[in-house]
Amino acid sequence: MDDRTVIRRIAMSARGFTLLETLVAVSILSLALAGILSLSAIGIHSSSNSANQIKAFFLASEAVEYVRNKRDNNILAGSGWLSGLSGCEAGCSIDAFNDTISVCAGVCPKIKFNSATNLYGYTSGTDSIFTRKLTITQSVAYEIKLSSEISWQQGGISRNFVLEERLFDLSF
Amino acid sequence: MFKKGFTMLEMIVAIGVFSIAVLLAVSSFLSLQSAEKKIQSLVNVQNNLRFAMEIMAKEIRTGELYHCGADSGVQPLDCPSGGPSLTFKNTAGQTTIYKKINSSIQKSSNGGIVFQPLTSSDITVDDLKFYVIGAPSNENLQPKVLIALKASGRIGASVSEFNLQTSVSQRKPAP
Repeated sequence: MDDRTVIRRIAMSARGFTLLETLVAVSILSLALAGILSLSAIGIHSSSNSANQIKAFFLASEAVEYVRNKRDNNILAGSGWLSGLSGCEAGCSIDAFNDTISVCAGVCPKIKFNSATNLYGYTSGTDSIFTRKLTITQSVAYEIKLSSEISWQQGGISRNFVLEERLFDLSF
Repeated sequence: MFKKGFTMLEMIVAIGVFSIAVLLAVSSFLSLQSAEKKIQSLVNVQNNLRFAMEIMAKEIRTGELYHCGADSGVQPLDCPSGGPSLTFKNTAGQTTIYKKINSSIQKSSNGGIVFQPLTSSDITVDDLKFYVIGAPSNENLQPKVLIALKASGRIGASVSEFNLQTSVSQRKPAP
């Protein structure tokens, strides 16, 4: 074995990584890290989504309770059981605090949140993310279907859900 | 001659690259940890407030004779501009009071002799207000209660705020 062969053999065995090997190793490592990071990002996103869903649910049920109360008051006052609710077939917005119903022209306005009184309404405060639309569908004279729809935007994705309730004319 | 080892420069470059990588990894995991704490406090506030709101709405809806104001009287009384305490008669006939005491929502089922908290001590209830309309029977209205609730949770330096609002209409027909 001459000196040259020895040198070549040592050079072969002490070879470093090729560029391809390095690239593969680095990309596997960064994929693993990206997986962990995106998992936690999903967690943060869905926790704030669940907060919005809870708020939206209570706001949706507020509109349904408001109309139920309106019906009860109409019957107590002896007026038509749906008086004051006309125009809601196309959708209307309900301000439970100020006791007002307004028909939405096309799109319902966003609910405002007043941080001084901690009240959701339409008269004061800054726009919240929620839009509430109450639709009344009447198929027979003594029954209406209420649909309270809440929609909001979160992270560029629009979300919504509908709470449905049926009310009857108790004076029928 | 064949096993030369690393030069000083190579060592410095290698350690430098390694420490930058470690720094990035550690800082991203620290921010993950603080985000996790934030989520924990948010979820805690959510659970507490949803429970309290659900309980109050259900019991007020099925109750009657609402008295709203700073005191705990039993005569039906409206408060269109909001009151911190609500006293009413629940379906079991108990004089029930809901109010905020020391940054938690508390409930009494015996007319104010004993109060028990509905929310955990981890969260701070900042505001609880009831808006009652139609409670006195001479108004000839079906009673309606609006509940507005604000609370915050704190774990470490992260604070999560949460606002809820709902209305309930009395189910029992007005006399």
